[in-house]
Amino acid sequence: MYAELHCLSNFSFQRGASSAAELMHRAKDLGYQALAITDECSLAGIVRAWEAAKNVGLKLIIGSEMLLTDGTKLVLLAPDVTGYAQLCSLITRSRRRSGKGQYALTVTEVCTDSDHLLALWIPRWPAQGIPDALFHAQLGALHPHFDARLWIAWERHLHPEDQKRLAALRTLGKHYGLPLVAAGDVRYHVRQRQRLHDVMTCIRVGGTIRALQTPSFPNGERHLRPLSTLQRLYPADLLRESLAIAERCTFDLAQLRYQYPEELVPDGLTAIQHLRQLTEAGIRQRWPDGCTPEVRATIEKELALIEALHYEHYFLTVEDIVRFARAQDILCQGRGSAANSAVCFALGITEVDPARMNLLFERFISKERAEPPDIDIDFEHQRREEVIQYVYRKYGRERAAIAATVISYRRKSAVRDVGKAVGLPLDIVDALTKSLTYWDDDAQFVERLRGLGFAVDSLLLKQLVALVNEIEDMPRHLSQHVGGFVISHQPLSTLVPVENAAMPDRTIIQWDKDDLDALGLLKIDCLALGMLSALRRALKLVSDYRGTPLTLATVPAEDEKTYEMIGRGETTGVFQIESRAQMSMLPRMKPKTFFDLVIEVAIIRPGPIQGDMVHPYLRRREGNETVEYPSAALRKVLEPTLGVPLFQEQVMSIAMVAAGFSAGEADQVRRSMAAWKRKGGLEKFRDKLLAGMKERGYDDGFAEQIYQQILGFGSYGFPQSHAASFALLTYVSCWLKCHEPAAFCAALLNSQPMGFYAPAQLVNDARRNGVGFRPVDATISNWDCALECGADGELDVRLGLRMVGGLPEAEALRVVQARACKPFMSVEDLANRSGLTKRALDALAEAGALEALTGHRHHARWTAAGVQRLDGVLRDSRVPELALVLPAPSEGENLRADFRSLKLTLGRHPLALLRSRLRRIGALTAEQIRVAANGRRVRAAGIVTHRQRPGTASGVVFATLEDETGTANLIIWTQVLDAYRDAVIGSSLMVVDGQLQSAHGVVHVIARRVQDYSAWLGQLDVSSRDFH
Amino acid sequence: MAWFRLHIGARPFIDAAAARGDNSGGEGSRSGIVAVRLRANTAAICMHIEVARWRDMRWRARRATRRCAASGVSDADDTMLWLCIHLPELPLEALALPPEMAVGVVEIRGHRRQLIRISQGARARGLYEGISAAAALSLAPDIRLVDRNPAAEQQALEAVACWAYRFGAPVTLSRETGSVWVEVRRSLRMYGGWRLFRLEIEREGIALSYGVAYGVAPTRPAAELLARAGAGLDRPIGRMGDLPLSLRDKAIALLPFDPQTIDILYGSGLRTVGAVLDVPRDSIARRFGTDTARWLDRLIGQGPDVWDAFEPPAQYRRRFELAGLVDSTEALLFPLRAMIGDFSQYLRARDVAVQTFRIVFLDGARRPVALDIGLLAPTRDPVRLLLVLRERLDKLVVDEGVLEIKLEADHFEAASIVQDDLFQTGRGREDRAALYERLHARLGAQAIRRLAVAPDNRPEKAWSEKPVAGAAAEYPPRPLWLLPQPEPIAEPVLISPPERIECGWWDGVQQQRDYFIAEDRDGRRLWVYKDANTEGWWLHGLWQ
Repeated sequence: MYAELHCLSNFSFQRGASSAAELMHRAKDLGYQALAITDECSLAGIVRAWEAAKNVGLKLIIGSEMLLTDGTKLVLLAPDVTGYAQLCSLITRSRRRSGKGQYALTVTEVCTDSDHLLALWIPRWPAQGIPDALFHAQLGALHPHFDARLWIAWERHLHPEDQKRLAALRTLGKHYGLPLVAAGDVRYHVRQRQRLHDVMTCIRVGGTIRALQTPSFPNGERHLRPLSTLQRLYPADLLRESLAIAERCTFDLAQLRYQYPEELVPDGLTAIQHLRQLTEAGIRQRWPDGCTPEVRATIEKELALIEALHYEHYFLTVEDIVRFARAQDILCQGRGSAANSAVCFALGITEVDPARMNLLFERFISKERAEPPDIDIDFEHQRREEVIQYVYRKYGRERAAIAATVISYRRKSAVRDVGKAVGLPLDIVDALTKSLTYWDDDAQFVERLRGLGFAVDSLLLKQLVALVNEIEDMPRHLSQHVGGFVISHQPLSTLVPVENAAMPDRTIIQWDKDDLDALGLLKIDCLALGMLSALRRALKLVSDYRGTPLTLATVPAEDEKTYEMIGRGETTGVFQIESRAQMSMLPRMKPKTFFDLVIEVAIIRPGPIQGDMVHPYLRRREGNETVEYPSAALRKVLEPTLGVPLFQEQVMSIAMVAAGFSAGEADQVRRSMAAWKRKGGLEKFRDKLLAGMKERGYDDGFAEQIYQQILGFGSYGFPQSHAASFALLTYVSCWLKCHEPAAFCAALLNSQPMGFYAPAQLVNDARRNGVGFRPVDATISNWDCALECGADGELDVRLGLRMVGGLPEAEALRVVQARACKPFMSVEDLANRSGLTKRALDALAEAGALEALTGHRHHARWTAAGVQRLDGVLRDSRVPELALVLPAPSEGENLRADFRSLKLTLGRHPLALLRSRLRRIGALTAEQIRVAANGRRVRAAGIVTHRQRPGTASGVVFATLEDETGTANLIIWTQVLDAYRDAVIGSSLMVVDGQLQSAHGVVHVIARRVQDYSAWLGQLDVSSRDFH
Repeated sequence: MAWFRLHIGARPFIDAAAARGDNSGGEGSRSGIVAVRLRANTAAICMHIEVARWRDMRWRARRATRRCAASGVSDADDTMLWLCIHLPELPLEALALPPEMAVGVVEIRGHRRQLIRISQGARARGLYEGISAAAALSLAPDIRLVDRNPAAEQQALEAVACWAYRFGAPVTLSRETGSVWVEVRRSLRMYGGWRLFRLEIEREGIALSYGVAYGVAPTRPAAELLARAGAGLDRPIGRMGDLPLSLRDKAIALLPFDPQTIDILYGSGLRTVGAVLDVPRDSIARRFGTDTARWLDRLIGQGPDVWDAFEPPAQYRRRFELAGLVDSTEALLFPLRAMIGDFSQYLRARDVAVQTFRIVFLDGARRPVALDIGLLAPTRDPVRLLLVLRERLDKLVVDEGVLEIKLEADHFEAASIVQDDLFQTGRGREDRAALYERLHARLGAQAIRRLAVAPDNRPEKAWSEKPVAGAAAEYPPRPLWLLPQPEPIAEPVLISPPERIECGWWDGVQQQRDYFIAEDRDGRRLWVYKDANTEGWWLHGLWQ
């Protein structure tokens, strides 16, 4: 007897205070016939609403609330597919022309191309009186166009002038011959949400709850009211009219038909024929002598599967993007289940050769799982934008857009926004949010509040905590996905509204990844990867210098020296296995083959660590533990990893093989694990798993262990298909580091900022491995670091101008350009011919890059500061100046200047300068610590290069100290951390007393006492890279 | 021991006036005080001098003239001698926060918010100046960060400037560097030479609630540099010729140049003021601009120095922060007496009187209770001011105690004009504004109410008494008469549909009311509501 036609979900950001699911449930419970979700100029939440409606079994009407530029407010409803497309394109038009998050639409525009849409006119009442003239003007403009598709909405929220208002609407209705309909302007599902809605209003207008800048609604009537209440408030005919409208709306999202883009297929060929041709061409290139029968069989199997599932266009689209990147010399690499297929190797989408790697790639795409193919492509991070713009160009803005990411409230942002809204002072809010993130977990929230001097049971605090819990996980705004492209054959705006992203030249659709999955739309992830930039540069440096082209594919495979280096844990700067945890694992793992690297990449991750799989695997690998399989079926799944499940695919297989899950169920487990953990639902899954395993004869202990492993994997587990693609990059980077260390280091420096290590550590590491470095020199250096032939015949790295702090690239390039004509005679000459700003010139002087022209740094800076730019005929003349005798800088001064400007020094390590003082306090060098006896008490000193507190290591801090001889690793347990918190967190130069622990060639110092000696460094600017 | 009040205006006249025993004071003589008014309306500050000591000083002055010449600080020199009072902790102290509190004063420098001053409490937590706000919060999440408050700094400097008037004139100040200068050469003789003068500065300095560093030199820049270098009063430099040598070894970080300039000087190997002074001035000008070069000239007295003399402001604003919550009016009298004393001295300095001023008491939550004091006639007599204040204070109710007192006065009258009586008959038409003002002044703000709206949907909160222009149309129709407190009534006869108001959850109780218009037996229209929580009926207003 009633359908609510005007209802905002929380995807009308900061206006709706309930989720679509909450609204749908409530409406169903109250006996509503249908519920329209009409978020303001947005369909961002509609897929969720559609799914919720399906779950609940209530009819969903799709619509949108619009505030037109003249102040008219409408609710537009989509009765059918055409109407839906019209709504999408109206939203798209109104948003594309406006800034992010805004829209603009005129009455005239609403009245064109909207002949299928139904419209409710929503009167906007002032606090007192009836603005008759205004209403006439609005209805007068709408009425001729919408005619029988226009209603006047009567929304009653218990205002004292309700009677007058209804009478006025009745009069208007008679005048224009328009029916009235009851509506609710619903903002939340139950009255209790009024609080949250008030707070959201504050967040939206930037006010606080006690001093609202715009008045909030006077009451909580904007909820889904019971039918009995509605009957009391509204005339019966108006309620009935809502049903009549609901009946006209028959559109369901399931009616949408998405088509893959088709233009990549040449005329006269079918898509599969074309894909086969490309594959065959690829095969000839990959295997000039013909491929093995096994490969051929795999390819045939895959092609058949692709054809059966109609995924040809998907593969063709990916191939096209990769081909463009390759033509532009942009390094890229595909990964994901579908990417590691033989077809993708033939098409050049991946360099991981399935034949050579001899692996199980069963998880390609399976028929029974209706999962769309999944290929992520990584591109060089600094050039990905070119690829993105290519896709926009190729398919047009109408047909290609980036998926949205719904940014939801996390505890931190919730505390910030709600805290401000309830009137906490800004610095308290800052302090609160800061203390939440910095090494403290959520459970300490209330404790932290107490520590900040709050009365924890005060009203304000209770409200804050309650509201934060309520708003958490609610959407806050739309952002763009990191690189997920949606491409369709028909204009996207007939499927989903498109809007502008915050970045220029980017458009996004209003749906996110999960929405696309739910509706089966094609998505290709174009991601940015810094290591690819570094590898491309290193390969180019080597190719140019050696005169023979080197590519990812031609890097010699399974090189013994490379694996030896990896086994020693010397992996600073390489891909994926460079972290402290990885480095300490490598001497135990001693990878010998590519598959070992795949395991190494996958193993040091929160999933395997949380599931306690790392140590069993190591013990078995070292032969200290026998490899056992619970059953023959599981042996097949687990054999490659010595019986220990390490990959996501294996865990899913276990669920299927051992507990009888279907493929679809197993996949559901993987997808929903994170959500279950947050919101509950795990018990059901656990019972099913344990029951399934018991049935198949596995004992409870093993079943429980598998359950824990799946728990650990659920959110973080690493798929083998991704690990394999990453491992290839790991291998190549290690090979380069081993055989071409100068080129590798130069390429890393040229690709900064990226990765785990700061330039100083990369350079120190390379120097320890025998690479020579030459200083930045304005008369020689280019923007990038380059290779020069050293005195010993080995390659040296010439630091580039990019290392100079405070020197913009454009200015540096002017120096290089001016130098190309004629060498510089003097600093004035350099300044005048390259037209540098004073600041840039000073940056060069401070970096020591002018020493060839002026002598020592002091002179350089004084001269640089005194350069006067003269125009016209005076251009080449100099204004004479009395020469000043300036003292030469000391070694320490040079070192400080190096660090300030370049963040590294080619002179002695700072600790070398302090060595005699350090020796006096009994500190050992890193070298001495490396060879000291296990269990010995030592004092270590060094510059803190890393400080890490992994979430998996229960409060332990790992730190790395660097001195002139190398690095020493610290482990700081919680009680030591608590005792020396300031020194642990605040030191640049740390002195640590502790006990040595060495095993398998890995040496740690277990800290007992930590002291801050940073003062010794003076103003040395060496900042640690803290990863939290 | 008798006290004389000596009003020091323009220094050159002091001795002459004092010698004549000139008594041109008016009301002061009634209370046994001799006021020596030298110039009407000159910016000045009163000071007390013990008569005996004053006589003694004149004697010593003559003797000290000879001795001072030997110590380098002589009153015979005809160059200026500046005493710089530098406030190194001004950004922090201007905020007048309890010292044990962990506080950092934050300023945006470049792109980052950094702590430019920190309290002792913050230092104890391992923070230091220059640390970024983000880093500070990670180290000590419970630290209180406060933005720099230039207005408070200005007020603090002005207070110090007023204080400095007792040592000489002119007085000038710079908020950028946080310093006050006062020219003291001519005061030396009057105080009996440097040694006694310095004792006087130190003695008076105890009263200052700011940490100060002194420097004394013939140029303002040098005096400030010495102050910043911590030279204090021990090493005054009296002769211009001594300047270059005495400044030589000071670090260049003391120079008030922008960081970029200091950085280049340092990076060029110049580490002392002497090294910078040795550089030819045109080389300096070429690199850092002529202003920098001229400043160096001024530093050693080789260039003209220009400044704006400070004068007491036209409007009086003082705040006094109490050490803790004070909840008895008797206890409030003590700080008030001090404030009124200062106030009357300010009035005297400007040679004005006051008829209306305002005292604001702030409680722990910084909620103000304002006391508008109106007098029958303008005055500057502290006794009368305090008397009136005391009368009003008796009626003051401050529930949660007072944490801060502010004294504000905007309008002053020339001291000689006699003000009209409130109800004098001579004037025919009092316009409404004037009447309001007078009533306000006479009866206090609480006695006069004007209705206004406030942004809240609860009717009783939507009315306020602040004199804000009405914007009634922002709310639904409301009755003109609103009861101060709703009163319970029996269920009335309703004649309107309901208006529902649900608000106030943030104050702990969610009010849920359905308002109706009702009619009583006499046909009066009432504004009533039904409380949804209790089901009871309440009368809240009357429509006619």
